[in-house]
Parts: sequence; structure tokens; C-alpha cells
Amino acid sequence: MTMRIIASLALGCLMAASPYLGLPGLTVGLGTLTALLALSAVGLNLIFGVLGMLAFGQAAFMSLPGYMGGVLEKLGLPLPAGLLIGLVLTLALARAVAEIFVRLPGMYLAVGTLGFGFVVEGLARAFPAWTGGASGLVFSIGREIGPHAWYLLSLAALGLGLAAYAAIVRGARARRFAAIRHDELSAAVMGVDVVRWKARAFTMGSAFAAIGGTLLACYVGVLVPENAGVNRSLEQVGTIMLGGLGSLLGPVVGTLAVQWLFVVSGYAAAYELLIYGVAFLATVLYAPRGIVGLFKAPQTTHGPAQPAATPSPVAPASVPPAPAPEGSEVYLRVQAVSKFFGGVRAIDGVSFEVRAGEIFTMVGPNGAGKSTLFNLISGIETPTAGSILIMGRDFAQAPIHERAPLMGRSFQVARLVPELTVLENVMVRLDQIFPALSEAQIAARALAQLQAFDLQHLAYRQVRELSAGQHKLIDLARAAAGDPPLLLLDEPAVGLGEEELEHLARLLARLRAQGSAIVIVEHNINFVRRIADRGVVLDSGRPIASGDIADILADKAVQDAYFGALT
Amino acid sequence: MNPVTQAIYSGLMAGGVYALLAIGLIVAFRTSRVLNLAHGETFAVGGVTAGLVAGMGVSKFIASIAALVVAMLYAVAVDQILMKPRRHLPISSLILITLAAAFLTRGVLMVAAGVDPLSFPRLFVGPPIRFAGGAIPLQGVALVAIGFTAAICVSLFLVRTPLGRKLRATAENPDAAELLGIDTDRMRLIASAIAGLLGGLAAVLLVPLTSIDYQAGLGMTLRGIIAAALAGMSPALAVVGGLSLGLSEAFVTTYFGALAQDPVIFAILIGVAVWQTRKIRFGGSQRA
Amino acid sequence: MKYGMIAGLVLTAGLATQALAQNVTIGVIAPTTGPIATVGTRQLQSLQYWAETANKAGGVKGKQVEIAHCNDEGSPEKAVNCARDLISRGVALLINCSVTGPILATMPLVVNGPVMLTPSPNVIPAASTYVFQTSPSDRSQTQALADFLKSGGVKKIGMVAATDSSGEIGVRSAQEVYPAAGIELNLARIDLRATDASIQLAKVAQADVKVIYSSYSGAGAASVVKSYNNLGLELPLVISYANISDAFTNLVKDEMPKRLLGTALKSVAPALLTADERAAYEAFEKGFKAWRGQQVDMLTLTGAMLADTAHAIIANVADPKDPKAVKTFLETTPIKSIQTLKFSPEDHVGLGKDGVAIVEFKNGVWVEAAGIK
Repeated sequence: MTMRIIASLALGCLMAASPYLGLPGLTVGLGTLTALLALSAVGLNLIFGVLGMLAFGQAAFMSLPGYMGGVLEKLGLPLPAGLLIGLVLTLALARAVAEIFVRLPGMYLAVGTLGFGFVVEGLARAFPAWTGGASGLVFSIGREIGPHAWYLLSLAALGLGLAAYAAIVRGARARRFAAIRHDELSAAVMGVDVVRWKARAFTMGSAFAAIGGTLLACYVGVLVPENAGVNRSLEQVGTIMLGGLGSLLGPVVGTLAVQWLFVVSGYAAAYELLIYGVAFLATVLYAPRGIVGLFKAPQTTHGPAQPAATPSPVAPASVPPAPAPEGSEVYLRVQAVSKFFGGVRAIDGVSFEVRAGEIFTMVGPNGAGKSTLFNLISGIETPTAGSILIMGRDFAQAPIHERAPLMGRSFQVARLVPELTVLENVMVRLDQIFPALSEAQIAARALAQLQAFDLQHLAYRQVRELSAGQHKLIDLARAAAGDPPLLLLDEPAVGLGEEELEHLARLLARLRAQGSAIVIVEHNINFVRRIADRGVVLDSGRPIASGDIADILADKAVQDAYFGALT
Repeated sequence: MNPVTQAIYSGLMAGGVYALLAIGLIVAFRTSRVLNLAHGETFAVGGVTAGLVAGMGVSKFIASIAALVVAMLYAVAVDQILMKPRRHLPISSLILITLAAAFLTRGVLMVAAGVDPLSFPRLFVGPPIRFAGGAIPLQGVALVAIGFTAAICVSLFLVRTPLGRKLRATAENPDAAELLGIDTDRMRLIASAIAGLLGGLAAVLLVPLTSIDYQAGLGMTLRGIIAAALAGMSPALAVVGGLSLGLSEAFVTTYFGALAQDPVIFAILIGVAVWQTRKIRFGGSQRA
Repeated sequence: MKYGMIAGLVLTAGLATQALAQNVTIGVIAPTTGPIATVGTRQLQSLQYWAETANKAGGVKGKQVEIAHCNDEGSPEKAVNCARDLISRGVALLINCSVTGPILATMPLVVNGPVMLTPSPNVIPAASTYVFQTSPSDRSQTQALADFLKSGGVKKIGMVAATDSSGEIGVRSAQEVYPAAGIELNLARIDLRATDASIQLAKVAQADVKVIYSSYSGAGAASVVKSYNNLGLELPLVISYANISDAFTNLVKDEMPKRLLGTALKSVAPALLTADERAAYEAFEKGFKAWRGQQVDMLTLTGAMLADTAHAIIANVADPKDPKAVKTFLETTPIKSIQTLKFSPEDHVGLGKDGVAIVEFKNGVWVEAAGIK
């Protein structure tokens, strides 16, 4: 770890000193330009590299404060005050549009932000009296600062930016961001307020652009509409990928490489763009994880490293589940729930209750509505009618993440964050449930949880190295972390070997004994018969039977509907 | 002259080009999930080829055919040489490769054609057609007719034919498509050939009415993306996307002036993106 | 030719950071890639031609001329870096062949020198600065066109202007000049990415409009001429300054309007020049054609005037690096070139509306335009 910090610092110093090494084309001016563009790229790295939002509006946020400052100057304000107000207004605007943009999935976000860039560029061009129009808005500020001072100023800004980035992307936040980037749905189920965190990250990333862009406008002295446009945004996306997506120094290395390559290839006159293209393509092809990736293992851990001596986890008993008073309290109450997709009645008037200390199952043929019902309870779908009470509170219309403290859910195919360790995966959920606890306390709790599930030997392994069966058990341990009264388990036995199945049965029995209410969907009928207490049988979205597990599995109608369909 | 009629003619011509670009982009996207940022380069490669070949004194028909062939080969080469060995990489890396391919193409075209714009003669020569207070050149009529016919044919091919459905299945779930016995590599080859051919066709039809230079590609990629986004990346709607982009550009310019074009069109685009995704709660990963 | 390229490579490679005492380095900011690559490339060629010929002839006043080129891609950031870099390398003069934004961005950097020359008609440098502009301003060009139209009794003009800076400045000039000249202006703007100008042309070509002016430089201007043809318009079409080139007329050779006119440097129609100027023109044309087999056009001519100005400075000012001396020299001495440039302590634009001619494309060459009836 310290070696890495030293290496990064050394690389940083080398890059900072590079304009003084006498390399061709690497001037102080290029250094200034690089540092300020890189500052904005660091922000884009937060948006795209860390959160996974492919956004093409970075250049617009770079230009906006300058334009706002210019307009305010024309209204009689001094330019520095105008620029400061412009910065604040830009951040307010970024926060406002983030609310819209972060809800757009994948390509639509790219298109939406691309459009935003064009709108800003178009407006800058359309009102020349206010914005200088196509000819450009001239700033007379910072003229007395010499080139070397400008370079130092830009380096300082970049240094602060990198420090801010490092402070943002660490600990619980970094784990949360990784979870969102990898799988928004699973992150939400773990209790992450995905929209809010994406909007925050988008705003913070735009702030880097706004500050870098304002300094750049002052350094250059002229702002033209193209500065806000798609070419620069595209260039920024390209440079951070070239440097190394999601790494601290990636944006800086990428920007320096692109700017320097541009100058050096310029010596080749007519062959300039060809050389630029060849070099860019070669880097992309032979360094798919970016230039920084060539020197670094593909690991991004955001939690505790394995300590030399095994730490003593908090004893599992120290966090007892809410005691189940004589096993009769209703933890989940599904009341007359219906879900229609267009004209299709996927779920039609289903009601049941699940009490503390029991395992409840939903059975039925494929397409009977089990998955839909599961999704309705966990909030992934919103019911058309009816109510879903967890511990007495109606969650039917509530967002997914609000259920997390009361409910854990596992997935048919475990949805873990592959680049995090097992421990970190569990910590992501605990982070959300216990926001007040310290990093060490969360880690201890996560370790205790793994110990309770006999998984402590995997705690510091990266999830991607483990088997599918191990993933399932980890997913279960994670869902049960924080001891939620209600557990939703989607096909927990699928893909498990004989030994793992036994392990699972033991774990479920213990969870039940601790007073959890457990709902499972499971195709392995023998397993269901063995562990479940009660259940409901669904057919075409309707409940056709409910009650004791032995009774419903023996029911004639169930046999016809369920086993008939299976054979 | 009637400004409304003229706006319709102008919008139809632009719309034909956008539809061709959009459908090519969507075909490739539908088979590979990769937004091809080098797509507009098929237009640039085709147009510059036609310009250079015609400049050597060869018949304009041969120049046009050369443009179609070269554009198609170009798109196939990008797919087979650059993309095929790297399908396992994350989508974002693949998109970056297409961007790098676009840069390289621009460099090659600059060496091949210089910085001055090129053009070549129209395939359809004759006095403009005057109707309802507007005028449209024969080449423009051909652009509208051939452009929309080709775009509609490809869209029908994708939506209605078994091969087209296979193409689309490749993108929905490549693993499942493999299991169903679909040769996904062959599907991607076909898709890139179609995309290249349509990009070349757009160039052959449009460039004689304007001009082209080495850096025309990126602008065309963007317009294709916008039209495709308006169509919600749906092959069935690509023609509608292209047409609505062309016509709305023309009408905004007519009634509010060219300076209003970008702010208005792109505000509409953002609105469309928000509307199309209003029912999606989380980044497209709804399968639970 | 090969030698020239290698020399250019070496010279621009920035290996020689310190100019030798016997050399004089001219810093040239010219976009050779990007949207306005044509403009930068052409003017740079003229300057390189000048440097090579002068050096072969033993240099200017015994000094070898070095052209240090920096490509700004038409972007202000890169232009600022080019200027800062070239100034720190101790260039005697800066020549900025970029567009409005990048030129505006570099102007504050030369408050303490060196002298900067620019050929952009869109920039009017203050007389207190070290910046000198070698072309007739856009306003002068508009005035020349207005005079020409007035003499033909034209009362109304249709104008199509792009949404770029030259279009924007063209619109500003037109709105000032035409009403004062009693000419009504019918204006439509065209988006830079548009491939068809029929909407704009249909809008401005109303019944009483006698002539249409297209203020659009670069590739898009071809779309205007072609759309003109598509609409079957028969009015004379006037194209703007930067399009007066063979590259452009080649592009539209099959689509010529009935009359194609242009606002141009007078030297585009050499018959209009004085005997001295014509001799200078012919010498340049002959030499430039022999150099790389390329045609002379408006942009190479503006390049030649930049070169002649630089030449005059090196030949006449004892220390070309002394901006005060250069400024005084330029403000007091007419520069003999293809067209004589006259700067003054009050005016840093070298050519006025007398430097402009309204020309017409006839039989493959530009000649003085006959009046409009």
C-alpha cells in the first residue's frame, strides 16, 4: 500500500516536472492546459469511471461558469464576482439536471448529456450580445500572471482535485459506488439510495469540470461555443479511458498523453492525424485497461486489507435479532396485491402473512407469478393494487432501498460486486443499515456475519475468484447481514452441491430459530418439503391453495397445476 | 416560393440521410451492443472514395459503385479486424476502440484526400422538380426515394425475416443466441456489411448536393446517433427517427432561424430520452 | 521538394530552441487540421514558399528565415499555447492565420511584443497594440459590395450567413452598412452542419431581390451554390472573400449559377492592380506555381502579403525583435506587396475598401465584375 502511494507520488512529481525536462513540445503552456483539462477529467472519472455513467456533457459544465460570469459582467458585476456566482449557479444547475439525467439508463444518459452539450453550445452562439457569440467571449482576468505561475496554479488546482477525488472515493462511499456501477438493482436492494448517490456524484463530477473550465477560460482569455461542445466532451471520455478508467491518476496520464501526442504528431504535417490515430488505436488495443492499467493489477479494493493477525469479530450473539414473541408476530403481510402488465394480470389478488420464526414458500409452475410477487415485495416492481406491510408499515409504493433495514433479499444468480472482496460485499449492506457506525465497527460486524455463515475463510478473497456455489452462500450471508426480520430468498438451493445444500439447510434452520421470517422460492421440491413450514401455491397469478406445506404439496389441484406442468 | 413546401423538401432530403445512418447504426448496435462511433466514417470513406475516383476521370457510376464497395469493406474490416478478437472486453472499451478507429480513419483520409473538400457529379441530372411552391433537384428526389426505401427495407428485414430476427437475437442475449445455434460472428459480419453499405449509399446520394472532406465522419456519426436515439434504438422506428430529425431541423430553421436549431432540437431530444425511459427504474437491468 | 519537407520538419520540430544570431525566426500559428484546415494550410504554404526562396537567395539582409509553425486546430486554448511557446522561443514576429476566437485569445499575449500580423478580416486591432491586420476588414468588404450594388441601382439584397464567426461578423457589418447605403437587407442564417441551403435561399430570394450574397466560408459554401442551382435561381450570386479559390470553383464547376461574383482582394483580378503591384503579383504567381505546382488563390495571396510584410520588417528594421521599432516602421512606411499595405498610427488595418474588388468568375478566371442591371 505504502509502496503504491510512493510510486504514485513519484509518478505525479515526474509528470509535474515534465515541462522542465526539455522534451520536445512539452512546454509549460501544454502543462497548464493538461492540468486544467485533467482536473475536469478527474470529475468525469468520478461520473463515468467510478459510477459507470457514460456522460457526454462534461465540456458544457466546463464552459457554463465562464459564460455566466461574462453575462453577469455585462450586467455590471465585477468579473471575479461574476465567475464565482457563475460557479455556484453551474453547480445548482448540475444538481438540477442530475435529477433528470441519473434516471436515464445507459445509452440514454449518453444521448441526454450529449444533447445538453449541444443546447449550451447553441445558446452561447445564439445570443452574441451576451455571450460573445461564435467569435468568442473575451475575459480580461489573470493577464498579469506569467506562464510559470499559471502552471503552478493549475498544478495546485489539479493536486487539490486529486485529493478531493481520493477523499470522495474511499471507504463506504467507494464500496457503495462500486455496487452501483456494477449493478444498480442489487445496490438498491442492499439499501443504497441509487438515484440520490448518482445525482450527488454527477454534481460533484460536474464541479471538477466547472472549476477546471473556469480556470481554463481565465488562462486562455477567450471562451468560444465549441468549448462547450461534443468534441471536447468526447475527448474527455476518450482520455480517461486511455489513461485508465476509475483509477486516480488515469485521467491525468490520459490527458497528458493525448495533449502531448497531439503536439508531437503535429511535426508530421499532413501525416499528423494518421500518426495520432495509429498511436491512439494502439494504446486502446494493447492497453484495454488504460495506460495506468499496464502498471497495476486490476484490483480496486475499498475496504480493510487482511490483517496480519485475524481480528476478533464481534460475537454473533452481541447483535441478536428482534426477538420473536412466541413466534406469532406477523412480519410480512401481503394484502390483495395485484400487478398488471398492460392487459396481462401477472398477479391477481394475492394475500398471505408470514410470521416470525417461520419459513414460507411460494410454489407454482414457471410463469405462475412467483418472481413477480418476489419483485413486488422487494420493491423492484410496484403493485397495481394492494398493500405490502413489513413490520406493520406499508412499503407497496416505497422505493427499493427503504426496505433494506427490515428486509434482506438474495438472488437466483447471486448479484455480488465481483471486484470487491467478500467482506466488502457484506460491508456494503451494513454501511447502509448502520450509517453511524465506524469503518472498523462495520468491518467487525461483517466478519462476524461471515463467521456465523462459516464463510470467514473467504473474507478477504475477491468475489470474482470464487465459485457459483460460494457466491450463493455469500449472497445469503449478505442478505441476512444486519439481521433483518424478513428474508426473501430466490432459489437459494439452485446450483449448490450436496455439501453446500446441507450447509444451507443448517443456516436456514438457525435463522428461523433466531426468529427471522423467511420467504423462499425454490424449485427443489424435496428441499422445500424439508425446510418450509407453510406456503402458497400460485397459478397464473392467483393463489390456488395455501397453508401447511405438507397439505398444500399433497393437494390434488396443486399436483395437477404444478407437477403436471413440470412433466 | 412557399417556405413550408421548401422546408418539407429540405427536411425530407436530410431525413433520408439520417434514416440511412440511423438504421446502419442500429443494426450494428443490435448485434453487438456497441455504439459504433466510427459509423459516420463509412459515409466519409464512401464519399471521399467517390470524389477521388471521379476526380480521376472515371464515370460517376463506377465512382459510386466503388464508394459503396469501399464503404462496405471498411465497415466489415473494422468489425472483423478490430472488434471480433476483442468481444470479451467491456462494452465501454469496445466503444473506445470504435472511437480510435474513427480517429485513424480521419488520419488516413487526410493523407489520401488532403484538407480541401471534394465532391462528384450527380447521378441524376436534370432540371429541378417544381411542385406546390417549392423546388427539389432530381438527385434530391432520388435521395429521398432510395434513402427511405433502403432504410425501410432493412428495417423490414430486421423485424420480419428469420435472418433479421436472428440478427436481433444476437444482441438481446449473445449466449442464448449461440445456444440456439445462431452463428453470432456471422450475424455481426452481416450487420457491419449492411451498416457500411448504407453509410456509403448515404454518401453517394448526398455528397453531389454538397461536399465532403476528411473530417466529415464524426458529424455524420452524431446525426446518426441522434436519429437512432429518437427512434429508441428500434429498427422498426429508425425511419421515423431520421425523418422526424430532418423535418424538425428544417421547420425550426424556417420559423425560428438557424441559431435556434441546436437548442430546440436537442431540448426535444432530451425530452424524448426522458419520455422513452419513463418506465425503466434502474439502468436497464430489470431482470431479477 | 523532398528537401523542403525535411527542412520543414526539422525547423518546426522545435529542436532549435535558440535561434542562431544570423537567423530570424517567424512564429506562425496556422490551423492545419480541424474545421478550418484549408485556411491555415494555404497561408502557411505561402509563408514557407517565401522563406525557402528568400533563404536560397542568401536570406533577408543576410539572415536566414526560419518558419516555426504551430498548429492550433482553430481552438483558442491551443492558439494561446502556440503563442506562449513561440514567444518564449524568441520569435521576432508572430503571424496568426487562425480564426477570430484564437486570434482574440492571442492578442493580449503580445502587449509587450513581439509584433503580431494577422490576415483575418474579422479582427480590427486597436492602433495602440502591436497587432497589425493585413486584409481589408469585413466592414470594408461589405462597403465595397454596397458601393457596387448602389451603382447598379440595387435596392434590396438577400444574404445567407453561416452561424460561425465569419457569418456573425458578416451579419454585423451588413446591418451597419446596407441601411446606411439605402439598401434593404433580407437575411437568413444557416447552420454550420447544414447540407442544404434551399430553405434560406427560398426565404431571402423574394421578388424584388436583385442579388444574393453568401457569407459562408469553407466546405458549406458549396452547399449554398448547389442549392442555388437546385432552386433554379437566376439572380447573380456573390460569394464571400474566403471562397475565392480554385478549390472552391472546382467543387461547384458543374453547378455554376448564371453569374458567380465574389468580394475579393483586388489582386485576384490582377488587371486592376498598378504596374508595380502587378509585377509583384506575377513574380509571386510564377514562383509559387513552380514551387509545388499549386494554383495561386485568395488565401495564398493573403499569405504572400503576410510574407512581404515580414520581409519588409526584417529588411528595414535594424532589430526585428524590437516591437517598438517594428511598430513605428509599419505605421510610417507603406509595404510594397501584391497590393500596397498602408498602416498608420491611427489604423492597424493595412487595406481599406479600395483594396477590395468585386470580381466575377468568367471562363475559368476571376475578372472585374460588370455592373448589375
